[in-house]
This record gives sequence, structure tokens and C-alpha cells, in this order.
Amino acid sequence: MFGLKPDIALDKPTKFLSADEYEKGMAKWCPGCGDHAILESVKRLCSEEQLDPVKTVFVSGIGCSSRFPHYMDTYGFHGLHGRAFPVAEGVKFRRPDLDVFVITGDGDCCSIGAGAWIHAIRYNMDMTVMLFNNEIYGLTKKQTSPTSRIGTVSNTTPRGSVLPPLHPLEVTLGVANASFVAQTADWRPEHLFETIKAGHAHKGFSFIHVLQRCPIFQPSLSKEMAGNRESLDILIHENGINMDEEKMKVFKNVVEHDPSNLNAARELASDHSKIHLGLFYQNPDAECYSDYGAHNLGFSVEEKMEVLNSEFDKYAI
Amino acid sequence: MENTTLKTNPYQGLFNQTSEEARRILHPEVALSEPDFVGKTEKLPTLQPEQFATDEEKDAFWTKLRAFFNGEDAPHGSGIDGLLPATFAPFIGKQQVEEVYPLFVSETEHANLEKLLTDRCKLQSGHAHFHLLEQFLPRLVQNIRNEVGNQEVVAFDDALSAGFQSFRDEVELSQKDRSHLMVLLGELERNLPEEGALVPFGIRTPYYLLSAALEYNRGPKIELINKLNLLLKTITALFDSEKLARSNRTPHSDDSLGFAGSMVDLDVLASISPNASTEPLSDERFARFGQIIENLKVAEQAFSKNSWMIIESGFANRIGENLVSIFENSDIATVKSGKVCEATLKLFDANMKAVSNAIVAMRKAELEIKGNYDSVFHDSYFENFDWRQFTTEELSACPITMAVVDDAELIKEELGAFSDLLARDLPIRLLAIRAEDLELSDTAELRIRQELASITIAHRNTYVYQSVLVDPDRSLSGIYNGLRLSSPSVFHFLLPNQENDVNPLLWSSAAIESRAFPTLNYSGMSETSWGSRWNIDHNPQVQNNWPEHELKLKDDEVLSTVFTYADFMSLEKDCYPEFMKVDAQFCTDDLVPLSTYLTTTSEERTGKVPFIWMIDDEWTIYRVAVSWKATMASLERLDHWRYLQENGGVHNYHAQHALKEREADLSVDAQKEIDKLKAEHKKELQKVRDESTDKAMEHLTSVLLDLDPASFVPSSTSHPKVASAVKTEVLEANEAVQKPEQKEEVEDDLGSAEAWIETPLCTTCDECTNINDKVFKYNGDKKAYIEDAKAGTFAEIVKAAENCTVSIIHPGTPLNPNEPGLEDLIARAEKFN
Repeated sequence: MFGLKPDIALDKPTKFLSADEYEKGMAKWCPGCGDHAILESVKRLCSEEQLDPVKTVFVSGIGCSSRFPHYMDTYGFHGLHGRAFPVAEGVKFRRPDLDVFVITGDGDCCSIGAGAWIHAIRYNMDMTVMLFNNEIYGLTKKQTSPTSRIGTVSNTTPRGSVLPPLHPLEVTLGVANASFVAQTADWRPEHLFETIKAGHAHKGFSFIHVLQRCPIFQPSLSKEMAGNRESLDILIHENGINMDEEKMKVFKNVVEHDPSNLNAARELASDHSKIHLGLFYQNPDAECYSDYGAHNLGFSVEEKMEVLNSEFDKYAI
Repeated sequence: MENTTLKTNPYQGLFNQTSEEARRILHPEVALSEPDFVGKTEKLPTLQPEQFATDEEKDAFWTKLRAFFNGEDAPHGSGIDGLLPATFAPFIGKQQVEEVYPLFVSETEHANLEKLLTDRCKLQSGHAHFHLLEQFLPRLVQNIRNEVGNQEVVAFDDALSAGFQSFRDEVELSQKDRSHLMVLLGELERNLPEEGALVPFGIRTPYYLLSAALEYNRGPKIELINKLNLLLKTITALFDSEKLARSNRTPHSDDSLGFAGSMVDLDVLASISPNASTEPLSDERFARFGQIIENLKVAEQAFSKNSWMIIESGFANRIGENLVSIFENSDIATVKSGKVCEATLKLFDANMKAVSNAIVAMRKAELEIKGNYDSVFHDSYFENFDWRQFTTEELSACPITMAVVDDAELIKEELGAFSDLLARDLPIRLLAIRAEDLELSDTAELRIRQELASITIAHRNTYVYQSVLVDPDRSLSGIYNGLRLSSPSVFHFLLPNQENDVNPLLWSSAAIESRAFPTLNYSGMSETSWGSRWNIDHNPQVQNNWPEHELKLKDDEVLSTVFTYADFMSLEKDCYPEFMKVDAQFCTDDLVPLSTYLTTTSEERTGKVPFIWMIDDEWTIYRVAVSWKATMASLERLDHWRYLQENGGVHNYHAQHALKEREADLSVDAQKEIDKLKAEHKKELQKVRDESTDKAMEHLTSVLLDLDPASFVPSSTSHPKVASAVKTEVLEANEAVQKPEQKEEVEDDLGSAEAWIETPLCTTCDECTNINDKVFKYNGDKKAYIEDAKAGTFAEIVKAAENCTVSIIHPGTPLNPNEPGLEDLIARAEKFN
């Protein structure tokens, strides 16, 4: 209507949480670790969206990355190795009002937790998932992970690894009902933030593959990835992850990619000659299994008993 | 396909049903509600579902519907009580905030409170914690707004200090952020105006706006009064000295000479002085001086007021005792309805005479002081002097003659006097208020509405500003612009119907949307051409007959709604009988949207019944048939809108006609030109073909007969060209190779001055801060920057640059020339600079 806006909230908030207020304790990752940048981006997102700390849950498994919930002043669950997804699904299934984040690493997700990972993609529950992939087991002082490149020298493969690595994007895009698949890098903080933000806004299982550097156990790989701007392609599209012109300046190579095109996304994911950052695939209409879990919430035990009895009574002879 | 999407959720319904059933069993008296923590989805309207109806039922319904359309009452149960126009859907259940109010006004500026604060807040946009202020600004505005009710004007500083205080008390922030915010708030408070008032939204708003416009920009008045006082002082001094001279006493001069006073005659000395500056005034001039001084002494009084005001007594009673406080600098008189124009005219004549006398006294004083008064010329000039001879500045300084009237009363009781007033072309202002319900209840008699604005415009050399109160900032400007003209001005405002349940601001907005009371600005003085005097741009969707909106429905459907005058009528209880709800199952092609119905011919309308879309509080949308009377009333409003549109330059008949004619002429001309060019082209083509054939044949013959071998060898003149082109390319390439080197040198020079960090690219990895947390610090966004390069060694900065995981630290050159191992460090730093 003329001169009027219908969406004016009467009460404007009196409370504001800045990014630092979402932080708890001092992050005990090595200096130079990419995890610091991810933590900062997540804190920034929380502040920007003013997420209620008591309604936000960070669930993790085991590994360097999985220390993440300790550093967030929200609810958190530092769980069992490879079992971040089942715990997070349990939380979301019965408390769909909570904002659920899953933090997992290449060992936690792609090795011991691979089975849970596949089904979590298919369940497509509404949660924001960040896979911190540094291609090495850092917490246990350098062992080859399923995503380590061929030739990676580690305590478990002293003469260099021989098996080809598993590529998380390819796997995710190969699973039924995938709904949001994106890749970003810890050394591009603005893109990292925008990607997490887009993932959080998406309703469904937002899988964000974060290329993360381990300067201690993968020093040369870290330098190579962060230093080589030529090998980095940024995916753009009107429905993708976009930044303003100023922030785009740091990217030399820009590639147009429509995130609704699954086959094109798979092709991109299987191109290992370059690093592609951006939204690979998004399907906002994919079925969310978390929609089915809270149908009888709010009932007390007595109420449930009463309902059951009334149902059983229908069959009474 | 792996990503098969189910269009409908087969289980959702089952679960919901179970839940719903269970609740019904348990608490049959309580309506189903989801627990708080179950995600809520946006509520969207739905169209009324269609029920089954037999052909007989349909026929019976249409018989009733046609009877209703022709004037009979709608059947019981099909009324629109509880329904609102569908366009209102986004507003239903939401408490409206008059965000355009309060309006800040002072003697020098006016602005919407929110805009004022936002603009002043931006002055601190460079502050590191500006986002905190930005974040809370809406709350701060809300708190200040809460200090202003909907009745009285509030002093700006009072509302401000109370609003700031309550905000400070309630804001929840960490200690650190709080201290930053308080600094920013203090600065914001200092940047805000000290003087001023906040005008609320309410039934007195037009009067407050008028009062603010009268107070606004008192500069010319103050300037004129200062000038007047100066003239009075100067001419009084001259007059006094002449008086002294005439009394033949020069006590001061005599005293100054002491005992010699008895020996020297100063008057004789003065008369023989070669530079005698004054001469005695003639008796006539002396008397004129006395008269001028007398007039100047009372002149200030003539200018002191902002306005002389006549208020219709009914209005004066309605405004109540606030009247004096609203117009504190005005002389107010009340007269009964029907006598307003006459009284205003009398008031103007009487007061302008006093002002004219004052201006005459000033003009005469000016002439007399300079010794330029020529009684032969000036006496007759000033004899016939009136306000029309005023300069623009003098007119701006004059108090304004105002009348406040009810527009319906004005038209009903004194249309002749009003027309006479306008025809006199005097600088008289009228504030006309339409406070009634637009005569909507009076649909028994269909008539063309007598538009006050149109009547005023018919007198041509006038100024009209017409609006509702949804845009106070522009309204204040509209009034202010009209106050300063030498022609009559009419300010016409519509006040919301007090008895209506709809939010008054929403109602006002609907009045503009429905073309019931369009916004209009006509300025007869400004330009000579007719069209340029009109401005209707501030109406919604000026190009359309009626504003069109898209309403989002459930299941991604969209309903196009048109807000017509009938929609506006449906807000009035008295008009409910003009509408009849039509259930979905009875809809046929004969039921057409009102906007379509109004634009069809009478033949096409035969057998059709118009409808509008309405919505109930369950968010179900219905078709509602409109009676013939309401349809005709809508047609009348559409006709009025078309009149405004054409005058305002939108879909103007003559312009469109001229355009069509010109287009036709142009197409004829263009076709002629095309034909001509085609003919020329054909001719040219033929010529070229003929010539080329001849040439080709010539060449062929020559080659075959080997008469001129040079003809197929590249000519010698082409070689230097090719060579020079190659040379240029080589040179350019060389330059290109050299240029980057030069550029790099320049960049080196610039980059090597001092250490710096590409802060936005920092990944917060703690590498540099672990090396030296005095040199490297994090900013508010937790990104590293160099706090103090002197707080550490160059070696530390170079080490940080080497360790930086994203290579964004540039060490520059060492600050301390005595640091050991500099040569090596500079070499290591070089690749990061």
C-alpha cells in the first residue's frame, strides 16, 4: 500500500550479540591452522543472524576440527568418532526448532563415519554441515587420511600413499536427495563466510566442503594451495554464492555454473586439475526427513497414553 | 533420477491428522495450536474452495445476484461484515507503525524522525564499531517515537533525552560493546539538532503542519524587522538633530567650548564651512519626518505575527483549547460557517493596509535618509501604494492571511464567496479539511463530487496542494511553498474517519490508492504553460487506472488484485449493503472484475456483474459483487482520476493523438526515404557490377596476353607499409616488455615505505600475533593489522611475513637502520613487498 510497509515488527530488539560473544575459551589449534578462519566465519554468521545461543547446537565427531564445539558459546556435542551425523540427526529430528551445525573432518566423515555420512545426505535433514578437509590426520600427528593425495608421506605411508583419494564432493553429489553442495577454502575468508551463510539459509542438509590447510603436517600442500591463485576458479551464478565486486577482485578466474544442474556439478567435481570454489548444486525442493519427526511434540506422557488408549479402544470388542 | 522430489508429502497429512485428531480428542474445546518450538511457516491466504452446487441452485443464486446488482438488498448471510479488501492481506493481524511519523520540524529543517537519525548516524560511519549503532538505530527510533503520543507536539530535546535514556537502560550488550555504543550514542546526540519539535500523527496533524510551515524560515521577517529598526534609529537621529537645530540651542557644542562659547557663533561657522553636510529641513520635510517616525514606531507590530487567521467556529471547537498553543504566533478569530471567505477578505484588507503603511514608512525613510525623496513624484506614488507593489522579500516577511475551513461546508455554504475570493487574486491561504467520510453513505443519490481542488484550479492563477497524511514531509513542503506566493493558495487535506475500525494511516493510504482523494499539486504561478503547473507524480502507479498488486497465495499461487474505489468503499460500514459475497461455486464468466467492467462498453457490460476480491480473518479470499450504485461511484472516481492524469501529462489525449499523427507522417517519410535509397542502391550496385565486370575482363585479358605482369604482383608501394607495420608491432612489443618492469619499479618504490597487511584477506590464524602481539593486532572483525611497526624488530615482521599462511604481510623497509643483519632481512623481505 502507498507509503506503508506491512512487515514492520513492532518491537525492535534490545539485545545484540557481537561475534566475540559466541566464542568460548581460547582455540587450541596450531598457529596458522585454517580452522581459526572457519571459527571466525561461523562466529560472524551467528552474530549477523543473531542466532540464539541456547537454540544453536554444534555437533562434532573426533579430530582437530571436532574440537570446534568447545570454542563456541552455544550448545555443543563433542561426540563419538564418525558419529557426528547420527547425533545431529537425533537432535534435529526431535527438536526441529534448533539450529544444528555439524563439524566434521576428513577422517571423521570420510573414513570411520562414511556410512553415516551417506545416509545423512539422503535424509537431508535441515542442518549446516562443514567438512574440514586438510587431507591428513593432524590430531594423531600425521597419518594418511582417505582424502590424502597419492604419494602423501605420513607415519602410516612412509613411502608415500598409493591409493587414489576419495573426493567428498563427488561422493556427496552421487548420493540420492543431495540438496546443497558447496566448496570453499579457509584462506579465502570472505568466500568462506558467504558460503556458510548460504548453507545456513538453505533448508536441508547443507554440505560445505572446506579446503583447510594444515601448516604443520601438510606445509607444502598448504603453501601451494593458498599461494597459487591461478589454480583457483570461482563459480558464479545468480543463484550461486555471490560477493560484491570488491571482494571478487581477489579471484582471477571466474566460471559461470548453474547450481541447479546436477550433471554439470558432477563434472566440475570430477575435474581435479583446478580448485573450484562456489555452489556446485542446490535443490531447495528436496525432501527433508526432519519434517517428519516432530509431529507429536508438546504431548506429555499422559497425553500420549490417552491418545494411544483412545486409538486402541477403536479395536475393542 | 536420484533427486526425485515429491510434490506432495504423503506422510505429512497423515501425521498432522493424527496430531490434530489426538488433540481434538484430548481438548475438544481448545483450537489446535502447535507447540512453541515447532517451526512456524508463513501464513498465506487461500481462495475460497468450491462446493458442489446444482444448476437449479446456481440459477437461483444468479437471480438474487442480479436483483442485488439492480438495487435490492443482498440475501441474508452474504454480507461483507468482517471482510476487508484482499489487497490488505499483508497488513491483516499486524499492528501498524506510523513509521512516517513523528515528523521533526524546526525553524530551519524538517524530516522524518527515522531519516533524521539515520542521516546523522551516518556521520560516524567510519567508526570501528559503527555496526553497533546501526544495529540498534531502529530500537532507538522506536523509543523516541514512544515518547510522542498521537495528540500533542512534543519538544524534540525532551523526547530525545527520554528516548535515549530508556534505550540506554534496556540495551543488552557485553561490557566492551556497551562502552563502544555509549561513545557512539553520545556523539549521535551531539550531532542532532538542539531545537525543534516532533509532530505526531492524529486529527490535529494538518494544523501542526500548517503551524510548522508558518514558523519555518522566519529569515525574511527577521531581516525586515532589523532593517525597520535601523531605519527608525537613523531617521530618529536626523529628526532629533533637526529638532535641536530648530530649538536654536547647541548646548553640547557650547559646553565643549567652555568659556569661549560666548565668543564663537557655531551656526555662523557652519554656514561658511566649505563642506557643509547638512542644511536645515524644510517645514514640509520636517513634518514628513515626524510622520514617518510615528508610522515606523508601529510598523514592527504589523509584521510581528506569523499569520492572521480566521477559523470556522466548528473547527475551532474541535481543535479545542489547543488552538492558541498550536498557532501561538497568530492572531486568531473565529466565525461561523458560511462567513469564512467574507471575514477573511475583510481581515486581509484591514491588515494589509497596516502592512502597506509600514512598508511605505520604510520606503520613505530610506528615500529621506538618502535625500532622494521627491514629493512631486513620490507623493502620488505612495498615495496609491498597496501590497501589489511589495518586493518578494517584503511579501515573504508579511504575516499570512489564513482561513481554516471544512471543505464540504465551504462548497455548500459559500461557494460564490469562495470563487470571488480566488478571483481577486490575493495572497490569501485556505486550509480546507475534509473530515467526513467522503459522503460514501450518501449513495442514494449518485452525483459528481464537487472537487475543491478542481474548483480552485478553475481560477487558474492559484496554488493547490491536496494530500492525505501519509507523507507529512512532502505535505509540509507543499504547504510552505504555497505560503510564499502572491496568488491564492488552497491546502486540502483528508483526515481519517474516526469511526472506522481500520488503522487510520492504512485508511488514509487506501484513500490515495483508490483514487478517492488523489495527491495533487497545482502551481498556477510557477509556469505559463498549463501542463507544467500540474504534478500528480506522488500517487501510486500513476500510469494505471487503479493500482495493481500481486498477492502471494498458498501453494505458490499468485492473485492479481486491483485496488478500486469500491474496495475503499467496502471499508465503510454504511456501504456494506452495496456488496454481496459470491461463493466460488456460483462464479461464472458473467462475474467480471470491477476494473475490467469499468473499462468495457455498455454493450459488453450487458448481463455482467462486477466483483472485487475480499478476505476474511481466516485468510480466505472471496469474490464480492459490487452494486450498480457503488460501480457508478467507482466510475465517477475513475473519471476524476483520468481528468487528473490527462492534466498531469499521463495518457493525454491530445499528446497521444499528435504522437500517432507524427508517427504516421514519419512512417510515410521513412518509406519514401527507404524507396529512394533502395533505388539508389540498386543503381549503384548495377554500376559497380558493370564496372567490375569490365575491369575483371580487362585484367583477365591483360594477364592472358601477359601485357602487364605487375598487375598481379603486389605493388611496390605496399612493401613499406607492411614493413612499417611490422616495425611498429615489434616496437610496441618491446615497449610492452619494458613497461611492466618500469611499473614494477614504481610499485616497489611505493610498496617499500612501511609494513602493511591486506587486512580483509586475513584468516585469523594467529601466526603473526604469536610472533609479536604489539606489532600485529586484530581489529573488530578479528582481522590482523599493523598496530605499531616500531613495537618490534624488522626481523619479527619479516618472520611474520614468511609465516603468514596467506602471504598478505608486506614488511616494507626497516625502520631501525642499526638493526643487526639488515642486509639479509631486506633480501628476505623483498619477495613479500
